[in-house]
Amino acid sequence: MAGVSPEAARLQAEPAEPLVEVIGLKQHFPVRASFAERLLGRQTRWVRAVDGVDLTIARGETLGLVGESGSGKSTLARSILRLYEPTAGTVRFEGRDVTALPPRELRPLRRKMQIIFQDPFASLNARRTVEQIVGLPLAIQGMPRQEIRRRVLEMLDKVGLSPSHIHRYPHQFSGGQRQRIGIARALVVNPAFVVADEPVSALDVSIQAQIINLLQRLQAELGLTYLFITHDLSVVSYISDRIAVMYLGRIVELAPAGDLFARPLHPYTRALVSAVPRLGKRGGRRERIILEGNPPAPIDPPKGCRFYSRCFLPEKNETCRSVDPPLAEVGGGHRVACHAVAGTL
Amino acid sequence: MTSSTPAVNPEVLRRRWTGERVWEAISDFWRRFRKNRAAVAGAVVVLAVVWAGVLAPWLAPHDPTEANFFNRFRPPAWMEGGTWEHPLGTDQLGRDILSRIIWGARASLAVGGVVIGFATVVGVAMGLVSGYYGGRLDAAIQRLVDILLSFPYLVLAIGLMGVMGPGFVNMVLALVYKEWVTPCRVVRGEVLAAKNQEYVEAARAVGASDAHIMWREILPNVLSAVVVVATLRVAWVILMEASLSFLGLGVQPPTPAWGSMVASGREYIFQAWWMATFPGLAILVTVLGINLLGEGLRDALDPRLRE
Amino acid sequence: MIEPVLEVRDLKTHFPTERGIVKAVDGVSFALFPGETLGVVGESGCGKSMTALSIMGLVPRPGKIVGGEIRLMGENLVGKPERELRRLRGNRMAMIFQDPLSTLNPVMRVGDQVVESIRIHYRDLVSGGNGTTRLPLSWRRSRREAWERAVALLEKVGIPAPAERMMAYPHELSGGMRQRVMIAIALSCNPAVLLADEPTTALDVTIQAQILDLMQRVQEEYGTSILLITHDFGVVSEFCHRVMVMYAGRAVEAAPLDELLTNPRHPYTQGLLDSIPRLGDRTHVVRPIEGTVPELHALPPGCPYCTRCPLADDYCRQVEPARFDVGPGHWVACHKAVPAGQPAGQPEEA
Repeated sequence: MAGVSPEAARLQAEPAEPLVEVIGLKQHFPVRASFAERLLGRQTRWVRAVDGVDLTIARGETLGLVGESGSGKSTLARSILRLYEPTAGTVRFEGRDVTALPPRELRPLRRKMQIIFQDPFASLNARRTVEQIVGLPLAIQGMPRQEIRRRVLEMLDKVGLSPSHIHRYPHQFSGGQRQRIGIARALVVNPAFVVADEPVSALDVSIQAQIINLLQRLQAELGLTYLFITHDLSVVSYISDRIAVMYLGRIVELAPAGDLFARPLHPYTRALVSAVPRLGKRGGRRERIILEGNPPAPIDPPKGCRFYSRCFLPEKNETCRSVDPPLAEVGGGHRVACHAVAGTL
Repeated sequence: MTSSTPAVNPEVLRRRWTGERVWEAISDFWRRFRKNRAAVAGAVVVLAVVWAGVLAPWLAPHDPTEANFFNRFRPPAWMEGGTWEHPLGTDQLGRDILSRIIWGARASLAVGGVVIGFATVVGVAMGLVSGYYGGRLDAAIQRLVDILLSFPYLVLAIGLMGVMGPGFVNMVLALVYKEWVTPCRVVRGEVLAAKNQEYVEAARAVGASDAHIMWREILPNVLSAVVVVATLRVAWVILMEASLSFLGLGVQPPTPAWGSMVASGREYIFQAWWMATFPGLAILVTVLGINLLGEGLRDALDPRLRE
Repeated sequence: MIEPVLEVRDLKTHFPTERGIVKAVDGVSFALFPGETLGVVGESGCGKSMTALSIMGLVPRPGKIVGGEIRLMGENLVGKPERELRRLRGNRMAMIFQDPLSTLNPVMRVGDQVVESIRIHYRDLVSGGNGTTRLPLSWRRSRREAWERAVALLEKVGIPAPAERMMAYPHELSGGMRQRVMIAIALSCNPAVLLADEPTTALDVTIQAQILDLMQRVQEEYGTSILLITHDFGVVSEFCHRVMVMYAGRAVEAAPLDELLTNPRHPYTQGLLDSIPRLGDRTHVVRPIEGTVPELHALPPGCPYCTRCPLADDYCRQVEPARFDVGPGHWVACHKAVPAGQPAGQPEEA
């Protein structure tokens, strides 16, 4: 296939060692039926937030995960970290099945898989000092206080905070500084894998760039693997090696970052990429694909292709409506779940 | 950026671990608390009542139980027929009202403190567990709470005391029996709000245990609500004690209690208004002071309101 | 010379606080011409929303407009009594907000809210100003007319099945649909000026595209002038004709869009543009602006940006820069952006 980017070729040539493997992961939440509905014997309905996701994250890479609100991207991350108990499927971390581990054995593993949250206000306990917040994972391991303090100071320095901040409370910091605290907390235990869940979405533009650069520097220094979740395509294109696009609980397209934006294949990705407002002259506007309507609710999603109701491809037909398209390889590490594009019609 | 360990004087940091930090926290709290005039006034009132209770044997000019039939219904000192011997007058048995109010503070404070203490411990524990674990346990606890709440407080207390008999210990038990419901409800609500916060998720993500999350992460965040509710409820319990004593079920005569003083004064309200009025004022001022203090505490305890 | 629809001159909106006076808007001037879209860009706390609220006369307490003029079609709004402002609000100017869920009444059907807005302004129109009032024939008739007009408006803003949606409550609509309803309400009286405060920030990208598209169509059809407040340079560059950049309560630069993007002169504008990742362009290295915005009640005496500016010197820290014209319709408030030799109160001259 033509137009395979160099990074795609590299990924294909030497398949890196997988750090995280997600196989057929499902995360369903019951919708609480009202009393009247239960009286009528209505069955429990399920929100299929994540509905059959396969994903491999290689050691040292940054996998971007994009999707709009309700696509299930944050849920997927939390299921991988087993902050939720997955409904079905397997998550392997360094070859070990995380989903099957009893809580006691899970605890040491938690240290290697960390998360950075979106909201720099809600994610820090207002009643605890920076030292208590950042030192918490160490305290849980039973590390002596002096050692905790040393490590916390080291970590604060790494994320660009001053040692004098150690006794302060979160509300004494700006949004960007709070996000640095959150990063320090995630990294203080030397994790291998870090989920960054919209880490810059709540921040101002100039601060966003500070945090993005910090995350990149830390990745290089500490050899981290990122799962970077965001709805901001510009940010994800900047930081990711590969990008997965989620729609209604499914990954619809997965490709090396450059490739995805140069050659978006899935109609949803195409609409998404074209909808991003870009810097440039006003007159020279690209053609924008304006999608009709809103994504359907993830309660009892459609049987076939989830994008069917909004799809604008002339090729769409009965097969799309009834048969679920698999995530098929189309060359150069580019995978797409669309009958029309992958030729499975 | 590359320096491995930042240059901080470790001696400074080590010292801050112990008393100094506690002292800092207290002085910080006081700095914010004293800005609130009403709260300081409330605190002064509460402290005055506490000291009155503690120092009653030395403060009270007379023995509160000493009757003197030649001195009955003496009006307050500033009225005609009053003497400075009995500044607030005497009752139907000629006992000094000021001394009885000072001694009566003991009963009120003891009941208020003990009942709220027990009720808060029980209620906070139940509320934490109920809110944090949810499910059947939560349902069970909350139905119990609903049942208790559906009884009028006073009726329940009277019923229980009818079974157990009057007296101080029984009164405490009867009040705790329902009083724990309030902190339980408050804490459960706060826990429900707090447990979906990202900071709780963050603690779980680093492998914190349920106990740690409940006591170290959530409890500090709900504590200010607990403190406020507890102080406000002390006022309520003091009123309940007064009511029960008024009905003759609480503190037994001749031990002075504000409630029973109001009760006996009621009979003589037209000939000796001071008998019911002064203990009533004591209740009012104490309850008001506690309320002001409670609100001041709430504001001062919240670090988000700190500068 | 075309008259501006809206002209703001040296607007100052201040908030007295315990820790000092917060100058949320401090000496902002700009003009908005018929049929144009002016983008106001800046980070949180730069005063862009407060500028819009000042224009609407909706400054929250204890804030107050302490100086300047706001001229809407030649009429100064500052100091006008609330009654008159209320008449202008909605008739000549309307505002849409970031979060339509909190601006729509949750217990009223959206149809009733659109109808209410139409009727309030209809009554103002017929009874407008002086006593030459001709009241509608009957209350019932005006109500039916307003209802029909509301359905037409909802259709115009792209709400499918508008007649049925009239009966929906705000929470039953998606975020994009709610924003459409807000736009319909804003349009109900055909305002000359539409103030849009981060209208798409809470929406997903594909929905954002829908809403921006809608606003553009509305502008083309009605010739509405739009003041678009946003933090997103991407939105600005797709939608605006001119841009004004704000920082810490001041306007620091304004220029036609292309000029601003290709030739930004203020170091803050340059910093902002450098800090935005470009979609699909990994060769563009993101360069953040170091530091954070200073506290608004404790601004440095000179240029507000001097604490973060790489070019700042002692002069910048002491003297507040005035506006300098650097091109057609392009001005900047920066000592360093002025070409040498121009009289700008430079220290050598003094």
